[in-house]
Parts: sequence; structure tokens; C-alpha cells
Amino acid sequence: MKSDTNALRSSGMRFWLVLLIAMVGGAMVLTGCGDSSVEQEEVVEELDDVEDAANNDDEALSEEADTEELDEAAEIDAETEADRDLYTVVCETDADGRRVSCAVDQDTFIGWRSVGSNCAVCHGQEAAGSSFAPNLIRRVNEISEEQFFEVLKNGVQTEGSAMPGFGDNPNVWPRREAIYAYLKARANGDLPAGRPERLQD
Amino acid sequence: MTPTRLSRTTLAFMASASMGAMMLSGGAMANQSVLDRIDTNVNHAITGGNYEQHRFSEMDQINRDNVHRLVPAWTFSTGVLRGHEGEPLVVDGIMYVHTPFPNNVYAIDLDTREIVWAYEPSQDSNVIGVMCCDTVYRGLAYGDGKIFLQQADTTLVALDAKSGEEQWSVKNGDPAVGETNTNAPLVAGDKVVTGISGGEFGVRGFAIAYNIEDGSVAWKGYSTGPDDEMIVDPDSTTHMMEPIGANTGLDSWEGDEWTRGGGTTWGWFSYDKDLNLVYYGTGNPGTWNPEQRPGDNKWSMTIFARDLDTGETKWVYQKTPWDQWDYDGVNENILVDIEIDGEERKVMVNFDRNGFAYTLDRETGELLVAEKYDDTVNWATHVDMETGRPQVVDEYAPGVQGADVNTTGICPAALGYKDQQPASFSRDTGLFYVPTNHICMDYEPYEVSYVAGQPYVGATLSMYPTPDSFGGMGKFIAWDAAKGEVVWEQEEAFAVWSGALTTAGGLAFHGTLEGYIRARDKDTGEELWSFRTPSGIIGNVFTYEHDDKQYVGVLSGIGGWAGIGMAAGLEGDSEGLGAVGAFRGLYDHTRLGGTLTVFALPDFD
Repeated sequence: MKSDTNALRSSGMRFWLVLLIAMVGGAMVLTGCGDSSVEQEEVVEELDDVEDAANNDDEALSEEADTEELDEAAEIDAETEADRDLYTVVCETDADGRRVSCAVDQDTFIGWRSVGSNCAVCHGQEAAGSSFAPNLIRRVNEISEEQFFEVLKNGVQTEGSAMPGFGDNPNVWPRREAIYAYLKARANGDLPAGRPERLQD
Repeated sequence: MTPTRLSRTTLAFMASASMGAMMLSGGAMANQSVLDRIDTNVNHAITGGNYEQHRFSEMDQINRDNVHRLVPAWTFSTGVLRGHEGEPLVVDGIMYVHTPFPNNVYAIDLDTREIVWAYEPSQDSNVIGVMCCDTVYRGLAYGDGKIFLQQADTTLVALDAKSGEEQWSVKNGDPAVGETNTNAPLVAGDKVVTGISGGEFGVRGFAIAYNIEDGSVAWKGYSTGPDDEMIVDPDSTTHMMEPIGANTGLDSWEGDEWTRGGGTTWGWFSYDKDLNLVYYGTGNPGTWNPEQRPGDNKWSMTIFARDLDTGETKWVYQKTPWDQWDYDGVNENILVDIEIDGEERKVMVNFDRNGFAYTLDRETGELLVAEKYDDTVNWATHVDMETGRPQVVDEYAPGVQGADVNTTGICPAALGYKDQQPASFSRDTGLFYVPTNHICMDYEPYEVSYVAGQPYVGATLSMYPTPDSFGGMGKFIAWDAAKGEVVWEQEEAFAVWSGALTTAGGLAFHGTLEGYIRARDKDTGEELWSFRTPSGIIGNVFTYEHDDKQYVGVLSGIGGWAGIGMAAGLEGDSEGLGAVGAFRGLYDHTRLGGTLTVFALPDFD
């Protein structure tokens, strides 16, 4: 049983992990920001649930909640595929399969640059989050495209935290789709952190 | 009463006697209420410990022989999560603790450790969005029975030190155009001097002096623009001992770029009571894309020496003309009298972000020493001692390489080999004890448009530990400012973003981003004691005496620019494009949260 699960993990579970971070992250938003170690644990628990569900069909089907979870995951799966229309990433790998350089389309490159210049000042290098603003790579999979643009346009003002609105900023707003494409490429694991090259047309 | 105690008291008496004599002879303008309390060697009445910003104490109750027995005496949670820079004040048995935004002030009775009064201002949270690098605040000022609070929203408030009652308040700027404050004000004479932040928002920097009595403006001197608005005189204000000439703050810029020219004044202020000069530095010029602002961009990146009473500029020294790296020149200017080439000189010493340590005559602005305090600095080969200009290396100059080019391997990174974390001067050893960073960068500038109240950056940066070095991102070093040489250095895993303290007990203290406070031997740098505080330390270590007992304290609370990137654990660390994969996360070590921890020797000693 266990070895079956591992086989499943090696083929498709990396993919599941990305989806579940998104789902668990969504739940975390409601309760406020948790630290990453807690999130990791919850991800593992959720993974086990899904594995159980996948490997014990009868039991899984009897548990409605798990089924819903799977359906939801399948929907996000489709969304991820749709995301991939937003950007083009071409990577070179070394002998161990590690990506050593990646090139992206012009828009995605501009997205990377705009994030570095306008967002990194709070959200950290490579948008990975800082001690006072969330990880955008994670965040972009927690909210819809509409919500993302709404926050970017109008900002968020809450007690003790404030994100300015960039709706009137000519350095940001006209490039919003490029920014979104870059973050999605990162969030889907298609583009590693660091400076990408530009794809030659 | 121990012999140590007796000698310390005697010392304090001698010190105040000599100060008194100077007051009479020099007609000096230092605020007497502050001087009196500095001289007792019991208080911590001014940020930096004295007007010269020595961060040195004559106290020796805690020393090299007993520091290993140091334990926490009491702690205090500030209730605020963000980065905690600066240090509290101690005045007449009361400790005044400041916090990051919302900039609360707590007055704590050192006998009962009760909160005597609290001032919790209500500020528009929109201010947070225009603070570039976390909502830090570096401290309060005391003078004439008042505590001065410089809020993030640019409000400067005078509070009654005994009751916390508001005496007056003024607005220093407008957050809607990106103007905020993070600096500690300075009280000297009958004035309180403060600056402005917003270098990443195209703010035009200035220093401003208010009259303590009623908050009326005494003078305001800009960093850029017309001579009269800068309060400079083409003939009498000097740079490298020569008159600066007319319109330098206009002609060194293209078009009206000076109006959003940066040169903000968010660092530390020091003051020479005999010369009646206030010293401070100015930050980066406008956008980070140098192509958009050709010229020397005067007087960004500059040390200013201004008359306390009139604001008139006696001399300036520009450390980094036409900045291409964001090497803000705002670091503290430490005033010392030391022997250089056999001659006793009144100098100031400045450890700049750009990696050079400068020693200047503080009366004339003559450049005496300019040497790298980390030998991996590569953006310039040296400083020309005739012109005062750095010899820039084109390979590491993003402005020379041009916009849309990624210039790689520049050392130091934008956060400098030292940022705001202040160094200490030991009057014991005559050496400087300097908390430093060890981080390099790639820098790619590009065209950006100005929008009031929005980031005006125009560059993308990647930062990583200095390549081909020991792998860590910080060092704690001892520096000889007369020779321009490192005496010893100790390596740290992360940037040392905490201000140093030295004492007559032979100790040099500093904090670390993991959250340790360390005591080191003044002669070797060897660690003699450490304690793990609740969060990463970006605050400054300070000391005071209460009921004949010496205490050492520090604010912990990770954040600030040090908390950007370095606080973020990059996912997939093993995989990253370029140097980014080498970055290690602080999340393995610490979490947010502001706490004051105060240490003392155990009572049974």
C-alpha cells in the first residue's frame, strides 16, 4: 500500500502538492497569516487524506468531503493548464535535471522586472515574502485573477498593514497582466526564482 | 560602595567639571538638560549616548571577567510585530521605549517597572504603504523636560516627560507624496532637528529645525535645488576646502529632476557643541535608474555640516556623486579627537554604505582618510584624495552599462556593507567597532515614470552573500580610523543589522538577525557571552545604571530592510537562476515580535 502511494507521488504527487498548498493557503487567509512551518504540516496532512482517498475508492466515495476536495483539485488542475497560456518558459537543465537557465516571453520578463522594482520593496526579493508582506508566489494561487487585479488597483488598508493601490501608476497598471503572468509562472513551478532571460522572437 | 563605583563617580565628576568649563569658555549651545544627564554616566539621555554618537559607556561593573554571568533582569513586550530599530532612552529613573508604527511610547518607572504613562498615537495606516522598508522607527529625543516623538506620518510631537501630556505637535511633510519619517530627532540648544524619509518615492530631502519651546520652524535646508532653499553660500560653503560656487543643487541635475531628487535625511544626527555644527548625511538621488538623472546629483549622498542656529551650511562632502547603486549616504557621523600623522585632529568618522570609511576634519571638511573597510568592495578602486571622488570601475557601474542591462557581481549590494546600524567608538581603545553586511548584488536599471506617492525606483536587484568569501552575510569589525585599517574581524551568518555598544569593561556588544546579543572582547573580538532573545535583533545595544547597578538592554524584533528577502525562505532553494539560490532564509531562526530585554549581573554577586 505504502509503495503504491510512493509510486503515485513520484508520478503525479508533485503536482498535487502545488494544488494543495493553494487550497490550504486559501483556508489560512481566513484565519490570518500562519507561519510556513505550520502550513507545511497541514499540507502533509491533507496529502495523506488525498492519498487515502485515491487508494481506497470505496471509503473515499463514502466520505463526501474528500470527494469534494478531489473535484476542487481537478478544477484547479484545469485552471493551472489555463494559466499556461499566460506565459512561455523555456528552460535548460544540467545533467541532474536542475534548471540552470530559463528564458521567458517579453511580457513575462517585463512582469519579472516590474515585480522587482515595485513589489519587491515590501514583498521581498523574488516576491518570496518578507517579514512584513506576504509571499506573492503563494498568494497568487490563493486568490482569483479578478481579486488580484482588484488588490493591485485599489490596495488593501487594514489595521497595521497597508498595500497601496497601483491603479493610477503608469509603471504598474499597464503591466498588470505581465506581472500576473510572471507570478503564475513562478507559482505553477514552471519558472524558478532568479533572473530569467528574454526569449528571442 | 565598591572601589569601582567610587572611581566611576569621580570620573563622572571630572567629566562634568570639564564640560562646565567648556560651556563657559565656548559659549556652547548644547542643550544643558541633555548634557547634565549625559555627564552623570547613569542615564542614556540621547540616542547614541552622547552628542558625538560614541555609543561608549564608562561603566565597568559588567566586564570581561564577569560578563559570562550576565542574565536577563527584566523584559517588556512592545506589542508591535514589525522591525524594532534604535534604542530606548533612560532619563532620571524613567525608561522611554519607542515602537515601530504606530509609534507608541511607554514611560517605565525603573523602580517599580510600571508603565507610568503611554502615548499611543492614531495614525492613518496609508502611511505604511509609503514606507519603503518596513515601518521602523529609530528613537526618541529628550530635552528640557520633554520627550520628542517623530511619528511615521511626519508628525513631530513634544510630550511632557513626567506626564506624557502633549505640549505641541507639528507636521513635517505629507505622506500623500511619499514623505514619512523613521529617524530619531536631535535636541541641541533650544532646537529639535529632524529629517525626512522617502528616497524611493522621489521625495526632495531636507533637514529642519524647530524651536523646542513652541514648535515653530527655525530653519529648513533642502538637499537639492536653489542655493537659498539649501541654505548654502556659493562663496563660504565649501567642498573639499573649496567654495562650492553658485547653483550646484540645480546645475548638477538634468532639467527639473532635482525636484524629485531624493537626498532624504533618514539617518542619524550628531552635534559638536564647540563648533555649534550639526552633522548628518543625505540619501540616494531620485530614481534608481541613473540614466534618467545624469550629473553629480548634488547634494545627494553628502555629509552636511550646518550651523545649529541658522542652518547655514559650513561644508559638504559628497561621497558618491551620480549614484548608480543606491548607496545612501545617511550613516552616522561619529565625532572624535584622534591623532593623525602625529597631530591631534578634531575629526568625524563615517562608515558609508558604499564600503568606504571616511575620516574628515569636522571643522573644515578636509578629507583625511578614505579606505575600504571590507576589501571585497569592487565598484570603485579608491577615493582620489585630491578631488574626493571615487574611481568608479565601469564593469560594476549600472549607469555606465546602461538601462536594460543586468550588471552583475557588484559589491557591496544596495543595502551597503553597512546600513543604518550604528558603530561604536571606544574611548578606551580609540578603535571603532562596526556592525557590517557582506552582501553583493546584480542591478538592472530601466526607465520609470514619476507618480506622486508611488515608488520611484526603476531598477531590479538581486542580492546574495559576497561571492568567493566565507559564505556569511555579515561581520563585526574593529577599525582604526587614523590608519584606515581593519584591526580584527569576526564573521557572522547574517548581516549584523544591530548597533554596537562598547564599555570601559573591555566589552563590545551587538545583536544578530538570528536574535543573539553578543558580548565580545574589545581586543580580539572573541565572543565572551551571548543570549538568545525572542526575535532577530536590528536594535542598538545600550547601557544605563539604576540603584548602583549596571544594566545592558536591547530591543529585539526582526524586520527593516534586513527583513526583506533575508527573512523570506525561498522555496526550492536548491534551484534558482543565477546567484539567488545561495540566499538562505532567516525563517529557520526567528519570527516577528518586539521585546525589550534588559540584562544585569545576578544579585548574589
